[in-house]
Amino acid sequence: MRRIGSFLSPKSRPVAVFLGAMLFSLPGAVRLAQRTIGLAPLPYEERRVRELGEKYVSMRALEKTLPPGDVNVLLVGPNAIDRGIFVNYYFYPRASHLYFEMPAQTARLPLLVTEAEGPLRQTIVKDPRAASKPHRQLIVPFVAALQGEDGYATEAVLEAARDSRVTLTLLPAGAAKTYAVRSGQPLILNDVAHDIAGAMTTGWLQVRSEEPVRAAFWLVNRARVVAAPVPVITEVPALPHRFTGGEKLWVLNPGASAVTARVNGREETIEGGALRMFFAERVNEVDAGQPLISFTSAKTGDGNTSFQWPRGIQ
Amino acid sequence: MTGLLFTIAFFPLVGWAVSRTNPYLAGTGVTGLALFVTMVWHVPMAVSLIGLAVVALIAIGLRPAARDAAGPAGGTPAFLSDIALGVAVVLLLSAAAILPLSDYDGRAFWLIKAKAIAHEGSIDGPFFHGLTAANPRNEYPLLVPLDAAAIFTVTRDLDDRHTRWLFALFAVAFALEIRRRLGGWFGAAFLWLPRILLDSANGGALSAYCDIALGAFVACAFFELVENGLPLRFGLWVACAALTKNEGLPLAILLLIAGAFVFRRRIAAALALPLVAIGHLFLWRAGIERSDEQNFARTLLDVPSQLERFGSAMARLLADFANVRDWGLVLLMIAVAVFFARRGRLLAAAILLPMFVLYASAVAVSGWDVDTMNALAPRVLTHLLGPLFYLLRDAVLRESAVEPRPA
Repeated sequence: MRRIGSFLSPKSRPVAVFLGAMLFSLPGAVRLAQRTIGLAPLPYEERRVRELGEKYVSMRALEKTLPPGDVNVLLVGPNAIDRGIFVNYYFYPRASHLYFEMPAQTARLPLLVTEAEGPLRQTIVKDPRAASKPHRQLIVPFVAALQGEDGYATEAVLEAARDSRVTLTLLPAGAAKTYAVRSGQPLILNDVAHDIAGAMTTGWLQVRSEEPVRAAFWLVNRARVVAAPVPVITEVPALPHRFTGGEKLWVLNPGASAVTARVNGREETIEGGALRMFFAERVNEVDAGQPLISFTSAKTGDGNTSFQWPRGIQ
Repeated sequence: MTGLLFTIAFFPLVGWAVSRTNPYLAGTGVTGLALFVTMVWHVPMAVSLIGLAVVALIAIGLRPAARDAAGPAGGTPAFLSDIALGVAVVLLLSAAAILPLSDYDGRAFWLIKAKAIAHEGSIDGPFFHGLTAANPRNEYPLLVPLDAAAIFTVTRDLDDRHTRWLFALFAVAFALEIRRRLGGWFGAAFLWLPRILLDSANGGALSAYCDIALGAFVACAFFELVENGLPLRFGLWVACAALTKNEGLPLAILLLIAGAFVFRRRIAAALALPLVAIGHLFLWRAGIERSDEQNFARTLLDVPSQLERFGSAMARLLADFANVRDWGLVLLMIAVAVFFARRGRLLAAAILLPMFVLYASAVAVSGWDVDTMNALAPRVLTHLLGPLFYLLRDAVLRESAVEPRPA
């Protein structure tokens, strides 16, 4: 140190050490002071919103909508774990069960979905938006809550221009639930069938609303993180219906009384409110003297569901 | 506010009963250590906290007037350096009180444990068995989370804003320890390091990481060694280091080995607390769910087959001495000072070199990209800042009129 430090007096060398730290911190220290002064007047939660951004806002907003108790958090993509860890942190003592893949037998808890980027959400569908025109009565021809090799659920969004009460009736089970839809605030549901029936089930939905509502529904495979849109029907399509291929053929009777139908050449009785499943053939045809809705479904390689709907329904 | 008051009153009260030189570090250390040992045996936290306060008050009442509260070492007037240090302290504590926590490990690993301990009143309850929430790095030592849990328990609230000063004050206490042992400008230089003062995301004083706390305990133990101080107090710092982070255990072992040479027969007095702490650490770990972290102790045997990765990791670790963004010019000065320091160089080398090898080995045998060391290096160097600053001070002042304290 004799040569290196000889141009400094022994007493000034510690000052040089200090300057060697301080001069490199000074610009950052000024910025830190400015940031501190800037945030000081704000309430603490508002400071968190400013500092932590969208992910924190979406987390807190969703938390307010959840019933008490544990939640499942589905992590979509390899880096989503970092977001899941913070859900775990901020929700505690509410328990967050983090899953990269949703196991088939997972308890049916409120679901949250997160990716590495973007807000925390309740749905597999990334940006659920209501697609239909506004109506007071709608039919959703297929909904499911299934546990099995993959876990299926039905996600939905309902929007109304004016505050409305919307009753969803799950048929043929007959269970019903009424939701309040606020003007301009989309109501997002991520497990409609289970919400209404309180159990694993398959069926169709009758939607009745005080005010016209717009809606969209999806059948999602939670384990594979894929979603298939299910159309909202306001007018029953004219018969006969023809489909090529598919794995299952579904016939739905939206009326109250039984209908005798010809399903792939065979005569079948479809009870009022029933949704009957048949195995699909290479070419499928459904005809009847009274209104029916039929469609086919098939599971695709990525775990999604491919539906075929009668002409006029999308 | 209750959390801040508790932090600045309770920990120093407990610490004052043990060490009047650095009551905050002693207080957080003794509180964490006592809570850990008693909670392994399922003594409720509230009972332990009340017991600690009572024992501390009695000890303070019975102790003679302070003998060991020395002023700063070094040859320059303390006034200017204290102003420099004070500015950093005010800035740091203001920022800690106002800015919300925004780091990763602090929230993901450390404070979630503190919340769980406070909520469940236990260190081996459902959380530590993976039953109530995700519990990453489940086996991390609990000294700092227990301090934070004490704050949550007293405030009856799990909001992390109550713990902000707990972490910031570790840095302040570390700076005061350096000031007292090495001199005012060195203490100020420490707190003005960009890495310490400004980093809020990856282990600085504005995060809730435990690297600064570990560095502070290691520094206290090291200074106790080079000053041939009190073995019992040395043992306390070593025990605290072992319970602060996983890296604290090898550091504790190295310090104890070095202590055996310095204290000779008196090392027996230093062994009691580390043995109690480490024994309880293994006892506690045996009763909880295994961590999701790799077992580095086992994989270290793979180092010979990973020599290339080891070399790369070591190079990245040493290159961080030239990382002026984090350290200013101070670590570069230290790199030069290593060749000029005399006193304590052997002791420092006995701690630093094995730890460098261990850190580089851990990266070499893990599945991590070797570039991970670029992010890890500033944190692991934080653990060793006490010995590093000692070398710097020794080299800088060895020709000055003011001699370092006898080693």
